[in-house]
Amino acid sequence: MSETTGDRVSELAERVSRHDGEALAELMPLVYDELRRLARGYVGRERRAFTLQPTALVNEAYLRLLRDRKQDWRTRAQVIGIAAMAMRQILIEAARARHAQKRGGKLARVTLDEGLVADEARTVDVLAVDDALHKLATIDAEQARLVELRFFGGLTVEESAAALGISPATVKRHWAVARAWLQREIARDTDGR
Amino acid sequence: MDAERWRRINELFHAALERDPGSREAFVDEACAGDPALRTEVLELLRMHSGPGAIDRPAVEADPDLLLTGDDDPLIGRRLGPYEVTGLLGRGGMGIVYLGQDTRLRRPVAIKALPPALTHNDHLRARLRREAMAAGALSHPCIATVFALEEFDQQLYVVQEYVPGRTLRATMKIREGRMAVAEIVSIALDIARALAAAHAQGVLHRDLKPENVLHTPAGGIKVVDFGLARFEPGAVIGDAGTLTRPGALPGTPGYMAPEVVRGDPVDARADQFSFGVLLYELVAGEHPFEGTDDITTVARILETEPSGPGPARPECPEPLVRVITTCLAKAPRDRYRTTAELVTALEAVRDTLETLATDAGAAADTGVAVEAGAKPAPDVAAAALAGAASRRVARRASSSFMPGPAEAARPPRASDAASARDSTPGDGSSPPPAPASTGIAKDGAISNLRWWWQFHQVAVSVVYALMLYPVWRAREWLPAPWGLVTFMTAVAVVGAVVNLRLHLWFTARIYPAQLDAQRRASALWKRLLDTAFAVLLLSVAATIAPSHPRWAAFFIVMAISSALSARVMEPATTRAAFPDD
Repeated sequence: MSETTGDRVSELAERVSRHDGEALAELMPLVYDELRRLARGYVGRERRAFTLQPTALVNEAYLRLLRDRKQDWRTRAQVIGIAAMAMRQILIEAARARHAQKRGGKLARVTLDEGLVADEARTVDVLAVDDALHKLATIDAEQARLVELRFFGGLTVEESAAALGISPATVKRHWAVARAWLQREIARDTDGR
Repeated sequence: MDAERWRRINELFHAALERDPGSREAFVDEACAGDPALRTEVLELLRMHSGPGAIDRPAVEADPDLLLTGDDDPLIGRRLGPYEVTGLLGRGGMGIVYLGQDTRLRRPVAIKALPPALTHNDHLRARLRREAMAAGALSHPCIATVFALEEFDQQLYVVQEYVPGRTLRATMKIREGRMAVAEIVSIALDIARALAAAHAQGVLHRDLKPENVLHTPAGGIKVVDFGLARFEPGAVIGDAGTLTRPGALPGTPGYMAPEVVRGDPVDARADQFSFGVLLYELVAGEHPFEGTDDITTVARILETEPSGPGPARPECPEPLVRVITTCLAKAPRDRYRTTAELVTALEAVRDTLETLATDAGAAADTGVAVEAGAKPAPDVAAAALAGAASRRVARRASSSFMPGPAEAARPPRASDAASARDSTPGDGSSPPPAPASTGIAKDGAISNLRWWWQFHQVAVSVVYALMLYPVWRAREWLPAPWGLVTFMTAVAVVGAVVNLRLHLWFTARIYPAQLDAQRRASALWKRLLDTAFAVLLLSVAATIAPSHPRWAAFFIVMAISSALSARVMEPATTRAAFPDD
């Protein structure tokens, strides 16, 4: 990300924190592109003997987006929240693309390279989580935001607490309920199919 | 659901969680009296709470694949000569690999795109063609066959046997470095055989690593990309028309042999080094030279001796450790002369493990299967025999080079490592020459030092036992009841000391994995008993001094040497044999 983009991000983030809808519309693609770019870089690095942790990648993206130290905590929280949202979008798109390929039967997805390994046991159905999360958002918006930050954004309890402006203890309580609720919702969905 | 109800569910959920699991249901029953729907909801959430959740790990970690999916490739769905490109197999720094269908032979193929730069360099193209032809001549069940080198639209493609499955790297990740030793040896043997077959035909792999080894669903092993790694995308044309990567490293940093890093002439033994790194990783669950970045890694390959196959793997049999250290020798001449010798060594390891598994199964008869867990049966049996769960102390280099339980299968000889070093390469059945690099020298030195420590234990036991005779003699010169009391005390102390030391000696020989724990447990007792015996001898000496001065002098000398042995010599041999303490 160039210096100017970085400035632009913090400026936009500041405007977003003042509930400027236009700024959000402009900021989102910027963050999205940055994450996408980093993801591609991640692919390139896969080749090297030592694999970068995916969460490290996400954190790296946040750090780049937050490079401007002058940002106050509200702006930082804003940027992180948007980054998590963008991350969710990216992952959901990817999962949909994969789903479509599988369904089409045209592409037998098999793996040759490390990064492309999709082991059933380890793979989580992000689409199912996304669906359930939409439902949760209608019941408890804050809990849904928290899941977005932690599950899609890869944030820790403390980071999420800072981003949401609530205490880590509250984060843990919210998380416990949301986690159980989502799990139940996903289980129901799977059984129903 | 309205906000009020959701708030109520949250409250009840947390309130129930604060109670102990047994009384939760009763609590919810009571709290939701008259509202069965609420009760069901809360109980369901509580049940979900205790199980695994879909969101326990961040999405990118649970499914890193997601970061790589997305962009469509224009080639998919098109035809390249006789091949129909049907999908994408892999994309990454390694370049793009497509899944295709050979329309003539109606078989699936993997099509790998090579860097465009290759097309414009006649010299390189000729070399690539030679390499591809050599690789294409390889025929081995554990090698993915190269079918053809094709050129379409100014772009070169290598067409290879399509191998469904995942990379060995993926298997390692999923198993989190805890594969059973027997399984590791079986995988290693397949890879080594593939290498040996290729080396016999003069083809080097040049970039062996877990990413280039595929694990088929049926459990088979296929090594891919023989000799072709150097032509992969990402490589650029160097000044002299040679192919190098940016940074001029012709391979993957973590797996390059020192001579490859230096740019020295390379032969089959460079592949042996890469194989050693891979095997080390399989056994230890970590990379032997991992640095913070490529440069540190390369520096460590050149200079650092690996620190033994990692912590928490004391059950790794010594012969397997020896195979790894031989492959990882810095100088090619210290590795196996031929890769066939490496295969022989691994076969010996496998045979030992199989014998052990059979023996342990018959002896323990507890139904513990070797494959059942990461821990081989002999180790389980050993732990059961010792009657104590041995604490798996994290060891560093030296202690993990200790002979493992596999040693129990044959007459234990502490100088094994040393004798292996002495054997000559021509000596058919003997183990291959171990390298004379510093790491091995250290390994051998520690074996020797451990031998001295064991000798010390036995020698002290013998001296203690012999000391009973002079005490028996002195008994007569002591006042009435004290003679017998002194002698009986001496017998008790000597008995305890000899028992302890011989127990340690026995553990060191037969169950080295538990030695550290046993040593720690007995250290205080040993010291107390030694001191007690010295005090006993001194008091005898003091009492008999007027009547038998010579005997008194003898007792004093023995007391002093016993104290010296316990306070000076023993700590010294222990420090030397167990530098990790």
